[in-house]
Amino acid sequence: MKTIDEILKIMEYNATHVSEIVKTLKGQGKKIVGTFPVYAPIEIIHAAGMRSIDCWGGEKIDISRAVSYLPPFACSIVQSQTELAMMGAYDDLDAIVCSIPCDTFRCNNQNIRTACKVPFITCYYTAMNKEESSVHFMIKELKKVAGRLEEISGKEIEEAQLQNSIETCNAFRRELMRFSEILAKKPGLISPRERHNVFKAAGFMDKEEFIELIKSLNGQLDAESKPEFKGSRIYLAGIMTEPEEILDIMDELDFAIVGDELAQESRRYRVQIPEGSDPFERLAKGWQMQDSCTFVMPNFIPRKQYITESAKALGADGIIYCQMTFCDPELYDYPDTRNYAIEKGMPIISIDIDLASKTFEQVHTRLQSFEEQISLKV
Amino acid sequence: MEATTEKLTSKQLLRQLDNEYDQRLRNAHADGKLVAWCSAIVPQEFLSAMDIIACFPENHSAAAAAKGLAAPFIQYTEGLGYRADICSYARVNIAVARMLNDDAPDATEEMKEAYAKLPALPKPDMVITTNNSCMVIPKWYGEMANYFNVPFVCIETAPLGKEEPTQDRIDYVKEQFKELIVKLEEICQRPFDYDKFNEVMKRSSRNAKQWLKSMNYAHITPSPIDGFNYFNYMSSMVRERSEDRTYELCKLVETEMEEYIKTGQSQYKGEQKYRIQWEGIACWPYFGHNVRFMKEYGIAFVASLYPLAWAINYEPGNLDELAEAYLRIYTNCDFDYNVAIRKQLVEDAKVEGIICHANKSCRINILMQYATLREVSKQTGVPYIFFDGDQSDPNLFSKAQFETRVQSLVETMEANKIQAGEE
Repeated sequence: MKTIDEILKIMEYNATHVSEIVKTLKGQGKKIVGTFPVYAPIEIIHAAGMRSIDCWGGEKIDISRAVSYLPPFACSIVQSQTELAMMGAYDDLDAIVCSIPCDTFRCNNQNIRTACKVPFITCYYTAMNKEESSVHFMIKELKKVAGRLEEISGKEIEEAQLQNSIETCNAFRRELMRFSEILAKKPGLISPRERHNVFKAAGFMDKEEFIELIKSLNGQLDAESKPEFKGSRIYLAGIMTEPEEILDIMDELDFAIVGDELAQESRRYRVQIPEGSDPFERLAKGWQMQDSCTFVMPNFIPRKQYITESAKALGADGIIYCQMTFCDPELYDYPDTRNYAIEKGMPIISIDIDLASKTFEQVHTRLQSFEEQISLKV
Repeated sequence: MEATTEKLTSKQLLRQLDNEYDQRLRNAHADGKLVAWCSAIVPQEFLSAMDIIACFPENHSAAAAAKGLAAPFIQYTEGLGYRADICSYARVNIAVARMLNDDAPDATEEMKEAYAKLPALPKPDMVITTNNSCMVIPKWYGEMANYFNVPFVCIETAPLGKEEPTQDRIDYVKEQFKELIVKLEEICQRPFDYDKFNEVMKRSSRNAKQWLKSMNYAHITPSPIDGFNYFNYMSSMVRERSEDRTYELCKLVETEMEEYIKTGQSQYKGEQKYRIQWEGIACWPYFGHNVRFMKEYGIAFVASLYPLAWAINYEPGNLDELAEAYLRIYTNCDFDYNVAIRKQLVEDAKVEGIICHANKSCRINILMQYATLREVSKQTGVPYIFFDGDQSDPNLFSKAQFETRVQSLVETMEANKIQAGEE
């Protein structure tokens, strides 16, 4: 059995060597589907015998070619995606699937189609996801995606296989959530960067292999005694917490992540696909259950309430709202979230997330002052 | 429309319609009407059928910006914690909503004075939107619905790829129409008026055809219409697309254009040296400057897709076509379609250059433009420029940059003319 350290090393490798993973898979003749933020039909890709690989842009990439497609006020995910596409980084993919969560992606989908020649599949996840019309539409949309993947993979997706893939992906999601829960109970057990690596690796690795590893990791972490932790318990909100230097700053300030609703991490994994006889209907109903998310509305539990109450329930000392610059949906949510959290006595701070950043002193100073604020409260 | 004794010009009629609409909004609640806050390209056929007064915060914010009144509202909203990176129409409207709700105790004197000068915007009884023009709309309007604690509906239009809309996408919109009807019946506490709905569809479709016809006079050389007036006339199409008074305005524009053609005149005063297409929303805080500067160089604005987005055409009674019309808004369409319609417009209007407003507020109107205009230019040979600005925020525009870029476009268009002459 691999130790905690060994498993975390594997996660780190997978989180930071996506190009190598893609090349290896290519060498093995595996079909690969790039999945753009935020939501993706990973069950269908899995059932098609293909590997889903997250394409959430890249850190610290110099944006030069992408300026021929985008003005400076596009978010850094699409800036870096466009740059990567033009560099040929996506050329080994057999398809790209995009959910179009916002206007920036609505445009960037079109830009990427002209910037690289990888077959592009739109899988539109409805914003008004609670309505019955949305469920009906999602069934058809997911079937359309399955049809396109069948064409590309040359393999028919059988219903029974899709049902199996849903169970596999449910187990995958369940174990990721369990991982997060264990860390909430035992802050300080692993660092913020190590926690992030696990979530990030989940977007690249083979589902079965990942499940096996994380089950083992969860079992061992669960068996560890609770460390003596004198730092601050932090809840993360937003799209993502990268570049990773930000996580190192958190580590330096003795922050432990006790939970998150980051789009890249827990938000897309926290819903279990419900039982049912029709796999596409199951997936559509799973989407209907997605709640407290900036990309869907109306939310049964408003996002501001979800963030604050989750943070409280997990014993967080404060919330860090990782504000992706130029991300419209997130920008609209922050003022209300901030006011609500403060009203409920939960400290909150926002930091700007720009994947292209190479200097982090401003974030460092903000988080340092936040740490002081939290400490004073204690 | 009130009876008038003398013949009005289209501009005078528009002003009269503006005033009458303003009065209707001011009196809406006193008259026992329900008010819906709507996004600009909403299926207002359903609202008109239920005698609901539609009003348009986007129009309202644009009017504030054009009158030079946007700044204090923007500043106030930013003080509430909203970043300068969100849509400036929203930044105006969020502060206006606070004023409307007597919920801005810290309002500055400047904002109070500006508020007194704004057109009417009654409190909403419901908020009805689409996301075809942009996906910010549901976020902004959803917040407003929460703020006023009123029902919220968004008719969602799944973005179109190549060879779409497919029936799946049309069916999704149609099913939402049915859900909208149920919600309107609940809100209004009466059955949906299908007879009126059919009449409204007929009038809307007629108006859309007339709007397109009247605006297309700009395609004639020299253009009898001053294209910048598109942005003024369109206010009537945005707010009252199904009303007879809007038809009368569009019809009057047609009559005037025929008269101009007969007499060899134009709304555009001066020689029309260059024919340009305008891309995107107007830069309202500097609209006057933009118009004056372009006129100095004899630049005639003869084409724009933005006002034409309200030419929502369908066969009355055909709900598939109605749904498709709302899906087919260019901002909801794919790259190939966007290139094709622009190329067609360039050819139809004999466009010689394209000016694109890189509007920081409106990502949907700009983030695809770099690739789109590059391709349009490649296919047509027509040059284009971008200038930085914003639809409401006065802090994001530089006169010098605008002027330099327009001058460089003029030089290119002139060189093209010389080259064409030599050939």
